[in-house]
Amino acid sequence: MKRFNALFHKEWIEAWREKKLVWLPAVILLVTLLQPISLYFMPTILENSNSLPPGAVIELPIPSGAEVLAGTLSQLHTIGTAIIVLACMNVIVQERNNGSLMQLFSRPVNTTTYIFSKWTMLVLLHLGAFTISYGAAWYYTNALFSDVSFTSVWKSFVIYCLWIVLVITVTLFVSTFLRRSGGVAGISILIVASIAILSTVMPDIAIYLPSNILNLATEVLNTEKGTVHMGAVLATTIAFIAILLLTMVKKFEKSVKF
Amino acid sequence: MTMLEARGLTKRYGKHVAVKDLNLQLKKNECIALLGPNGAGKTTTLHMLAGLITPTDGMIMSDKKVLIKDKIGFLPQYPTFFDWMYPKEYLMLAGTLSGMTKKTLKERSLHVLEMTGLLEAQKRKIGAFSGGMKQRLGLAQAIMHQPKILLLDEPVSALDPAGRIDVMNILENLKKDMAILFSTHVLHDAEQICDKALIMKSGQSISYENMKEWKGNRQRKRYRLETSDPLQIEGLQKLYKEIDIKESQKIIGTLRHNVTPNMLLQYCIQQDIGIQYFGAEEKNLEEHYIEVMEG
Amino acid sequence: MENTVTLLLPIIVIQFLLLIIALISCIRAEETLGPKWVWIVIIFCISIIGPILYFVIGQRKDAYK
Repeated sequence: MKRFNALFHKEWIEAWREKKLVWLPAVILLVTLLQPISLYFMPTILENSNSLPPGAVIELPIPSGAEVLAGTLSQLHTIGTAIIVLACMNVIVQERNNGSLMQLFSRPVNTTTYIFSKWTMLVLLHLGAFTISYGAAWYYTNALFSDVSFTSVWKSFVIYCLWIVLVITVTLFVSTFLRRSGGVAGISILIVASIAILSTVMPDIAIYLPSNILNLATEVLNTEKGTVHMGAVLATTIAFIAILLLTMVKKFEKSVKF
Repeated sequence: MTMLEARGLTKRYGKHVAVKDLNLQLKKNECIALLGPNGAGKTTTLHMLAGLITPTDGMIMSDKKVLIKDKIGFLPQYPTFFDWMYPKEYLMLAGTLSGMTKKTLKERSLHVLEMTGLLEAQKRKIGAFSGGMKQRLGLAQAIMHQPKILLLDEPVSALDPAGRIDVMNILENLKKDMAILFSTHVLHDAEQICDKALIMKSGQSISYENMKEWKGNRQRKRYRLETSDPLQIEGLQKLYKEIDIKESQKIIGTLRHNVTPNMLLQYCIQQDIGIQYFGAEEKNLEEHYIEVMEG
Repeated sequence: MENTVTLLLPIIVIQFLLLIIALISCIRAEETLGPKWVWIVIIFCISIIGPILYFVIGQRKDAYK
């Protein structure tokens, strides 16, 4: 535990000195906030643009608060996911390539401690950023559109957190066997995208898989309760994360070549 | 007490054999140099001993028990740190990972910084360090947790002459507390602070030199003669039994049984050979090394 | 119109914050991947994405020996 704490602490100092602790929450916040605000200003923007003939009246249906928050999540699902992959792609690769990893492992540190110190820190950082952003988006939605109940926001939040943890885990997993951060980012996004695309390719199966997370969260926002498949999706996602973590630790132990 | 013992150590990468059947014994307070050309398997050997890679075959023990990493201090050939850290932070992280208690960390980190001459560089981030400073910090982190065994991979190759002498002095001091094994290309250093040398070539140990033994071996009548004019070898061959090194103006070898050094001098005077240097010569490591490499 | 300003203020502040932090970090960095002035231009000219690019790619020293 002492070793885990030391490495965990190191991760936070590193994130602070490299300013990841600031830019990541800021960027996620920006991505989430832009959705409700731009939706709010959409009529004004359209009115002021010159592309419309004078006298034309636009009747835009004002979206409900739940729809706005769902839009925010889908915005996060694309741009946010990419940002998470970018933020995580370097953490193992860099230390392995420059040799500082070797120097650490000449001490009694095992791969489990090492990987979990990174994983825990990244998960906390991203979930923290997501909490602030989603909270702010909720506030804006309530102020600008219609109110969304806390229960549905809370439920959708918990469900979507799993997606974020999954993306982090996939990126770390890829980092344990690729040596270039560009490759890590590419393959990770490929894996994550294939998971997401599954819901259009094989909707029958994907309904039980992590691919369905965004749909579930949206549904919860609209109806305040999830579908029958919620339990299955949560279970498969958690199982998938656990399997990735286990293989990663095992593989890293065997294949670390300095 | 045997601090570190390796028996039949072998490392294969596919068909390539990096280290083959290496035996090594490092006793308490002993210092051994690992010599050999590039690619001889020195680094692989050190990595195996440090527990960074698993040997294909053979075993590594310490005092008849399995070697644990707490006991080892390791300095890689290119020490790499986290550029955003301050030296003290790194040392404290290293110490914690090696199981040191919080109380001792601060004091010990300052102590090793002082030992390695980095006390003034404390306020700078490691990213701003020069190569030589990183090498020193590498040594500092290796000795941070007061290991019983110190494994150093070319500790002086990145240093300037003054730095090299510093590091050698530090090692000389450390010998009191730890058993040291280091690889180097500087034979002179190895000779000065080490008791023994293990010479490797293409993955195998080809010679195990005990320098301590040579030092007591002065009675062998080995003499070096340097002259200002080219030497006439025929006459000298009558006096020398064995000639180890022969250049046009230099000769080193063992005198014949009944020949005294004075007779050699006398001969030179008689022949009117201008003497530049004359003296008893211990066998040195460089000669051994070249001999072994060529043999 | 006052409403518009209050609404947009947080976004402008965050964007500005991101820009300033990236700039300071870039100027103070010992080394960047590629020339520093290019990064300063990128940070200034491409809003939001410029600073992110710098933090993710430009900030690290080349990891390869």
